[in-house]
Amino acid sequence: MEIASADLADLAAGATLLGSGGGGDTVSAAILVRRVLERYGPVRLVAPSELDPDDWVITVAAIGAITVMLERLPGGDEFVTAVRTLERWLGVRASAVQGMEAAGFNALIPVAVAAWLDLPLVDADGMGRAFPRLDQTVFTLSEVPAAPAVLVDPSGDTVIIGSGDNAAVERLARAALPALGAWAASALYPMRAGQVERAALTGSFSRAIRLGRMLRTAQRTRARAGLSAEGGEILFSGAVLQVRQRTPYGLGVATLEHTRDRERTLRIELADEFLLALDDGSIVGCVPDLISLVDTRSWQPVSADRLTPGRHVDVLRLPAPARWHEPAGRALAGPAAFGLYLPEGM
Amino acid sequence: MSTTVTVRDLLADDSLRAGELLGGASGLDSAVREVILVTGGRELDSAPPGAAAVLDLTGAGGLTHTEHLVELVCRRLRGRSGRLLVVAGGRAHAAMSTGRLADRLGLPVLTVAEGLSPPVLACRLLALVRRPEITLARTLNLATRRLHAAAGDLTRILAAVDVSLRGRTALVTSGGSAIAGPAPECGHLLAEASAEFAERAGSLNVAACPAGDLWVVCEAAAGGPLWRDAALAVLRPASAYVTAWLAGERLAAERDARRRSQVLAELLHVEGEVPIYLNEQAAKLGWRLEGWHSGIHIAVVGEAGHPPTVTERLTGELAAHGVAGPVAELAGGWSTWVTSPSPAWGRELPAAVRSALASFRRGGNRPVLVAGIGQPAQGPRGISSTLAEARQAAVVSASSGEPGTVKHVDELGAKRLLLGWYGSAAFRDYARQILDPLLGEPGLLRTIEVYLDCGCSPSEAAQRLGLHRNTVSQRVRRAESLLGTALATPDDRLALQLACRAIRVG
Repeated sequence: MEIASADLADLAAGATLLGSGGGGDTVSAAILVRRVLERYGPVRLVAPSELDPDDWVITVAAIGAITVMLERLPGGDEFVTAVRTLERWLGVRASAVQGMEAAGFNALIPVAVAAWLDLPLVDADGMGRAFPRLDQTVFTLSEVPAAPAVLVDPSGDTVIIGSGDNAAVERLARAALPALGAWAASALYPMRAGQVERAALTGSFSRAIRLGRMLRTAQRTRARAGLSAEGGEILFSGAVLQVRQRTPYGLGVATLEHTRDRERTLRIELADEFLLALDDGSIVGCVPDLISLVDTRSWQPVSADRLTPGRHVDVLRLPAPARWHEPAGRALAGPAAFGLYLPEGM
Repeated sequence: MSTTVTVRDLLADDSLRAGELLGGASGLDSAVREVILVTGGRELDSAPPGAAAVLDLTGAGGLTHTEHLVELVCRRLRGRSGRLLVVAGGRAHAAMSTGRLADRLGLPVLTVAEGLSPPVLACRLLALVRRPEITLARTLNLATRRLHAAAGDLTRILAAVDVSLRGRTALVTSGGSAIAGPAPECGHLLAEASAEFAERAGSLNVAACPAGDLWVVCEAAAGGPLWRDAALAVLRPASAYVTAWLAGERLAAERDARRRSQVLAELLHVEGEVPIYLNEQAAKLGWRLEGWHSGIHIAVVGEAGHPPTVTERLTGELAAHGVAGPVAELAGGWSTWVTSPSPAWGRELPAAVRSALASFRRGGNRPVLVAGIGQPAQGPRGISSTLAEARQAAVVSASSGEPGTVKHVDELGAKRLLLGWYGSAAFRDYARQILDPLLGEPGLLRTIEVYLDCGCSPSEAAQRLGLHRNTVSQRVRRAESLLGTALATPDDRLALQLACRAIRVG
């Protein structure tokens, strides 16, 4: 299977839905990647089993402030430098790259990186959706270290985090970002193809493309059936009454009024992404599952930072990969990881 | 006595008073039977029906975001027939969704920003729900102490009730107008009340207890049945204190009135020089004996007897209209006079007295009053002569039958001739004799009176009485036959007309 420039619109649409209200702008990223693919040709999308189990696979992502990246677009060199530096550090040669987060902006970046490096892209990632921290991966659950990790900024300045557990790598990378100019190309979680098969969430990119195709069909034809084929459902249709964006002291909250039953209320807790949905006081959606909002009329996804009173939206729920629902998965990426208190029995 | 405690009662407690109600106002009158402390889901599973829950979010283990729990608990609590959710330490600016959910479920949700710790708060509310009589006893005990300290001072008595019940307390007439304190919003309820009551009227609790012919009324927005029970418990002793104060005031007023009447009676009978002791007494009452006096006599028409407070109210009305003289109660009315350095002042007096009487009537005050005004006269002896004229004028005013009539002695002219007749007891007896056949039929007597006043014109009399002309003619014929006289005879007509007037004045 290949990802060609014609597939990018679907990939971008699906990636936005998987961003659960966060994950960054995919439209600009799609333009960037299209230009790369037009120059270098389509990227080969491979299953981990198609590689030799001993082949090295390097995980790539952009980390930091996506908004700053859009003002200071990547030229490609920083990602190439990041992967090459990691290869030199390990003394290996990568046979393929994979995604860390096949959602939002970071679902598109690995396609460009694979093209720049002329390597296949493994159809796998570490999150199956968007999360804010680089240690919130199923790799962490499988004890695959994120280190050594390489961060490269657009001027070529490079930081190597040689060792440390995954939480420490997250902490160190976060601390380095201001000095790197708010965002950095990163190459991390180096692993062999056999490990990818065991540890990663496979089929991530093809799922994003499939979801994107479903969403774009729905936008054109108003057909909503494709959603349930992906295990998703429409939780609520209504108008946004009030939005309190997150502050340094707490999460944001949105209040929605149901279109038909005007007394019915949906409450959404939000950070950079949508975290929890309460329908008249009952939980109907909760991180790690995905809550995505789309405009009722156009079915264009609405990101958490663009949610404003007066908008009419459909609230969708998509299931997270099963591994996020295991106790260790919930501890790493469940409500508590976002500061949401849900005591036992609630 | 078992008191029901509702959500309103809990919200009126000091511990919750500063809280913010996010929604669910439709459930404010539900009875609360139990209080539980909620830290997680388990307490909710076993929550008894009719419970108020205090949500304790202090055990969140360092997690910062707990707001959403309010809605989860709200829903679960309603499912267990809960009555109130108190969020201790909740944030003041909750999201709109919480209020909407509370409204939808009809479950009041209150956030209390600071105050007691959640377990202590729950204990306090539990005591209130389980043993309301303790709260009642405490309120009553404090109120009794405050009332005792305030005895004899109406303002302080009402203030003591205000503080004890956290309401607005007033002493009001059964018509609802306030004599002391702020006019109650629900004063109209008193018109139908015959005994103490406490009820909720719209957004207010009202409790009222009679004190003599007045009411002590307390109103408060906060609270429910428990407040109303407490209000009655406090108003009962308070009304006793008010009644005692009233009795004291009346005693003093009567003593003053009697002294004034006595001094005036003596003044009126003075011949020659005013004795020194009388001058002294008049000075003590603030009366000026020198200068030009214009006497005013106010007479009661019809019914005899009136409440002792009339003198005070009448004095107030006269003073408000610029007639600020000493008022003394004398046979069948009140005498007063105004004093000025020259005789010219008296001209505006009739108008002033007229408006004072009109204002007295507008206030719904009984009895019906008329007045007469005398010529200005000089010196202490002048008081006696001007008041004598004022009394004559008042008799003529009374004879007109119109409430509020004020006549100046100058206007009387030929009518003064009639005064002798009106004033003579012998003629009144005679009048009663000749009109005797009609006295049992007031309608007939009134018809004849008006017929004669209208110069024996049946049409004019019919118009004034609102009757048909034929009815008047027929009544006149019946009266003639009952009296055995013919109204066509001038002498009989004059005698009958005088008799009618004399009876009306009498």
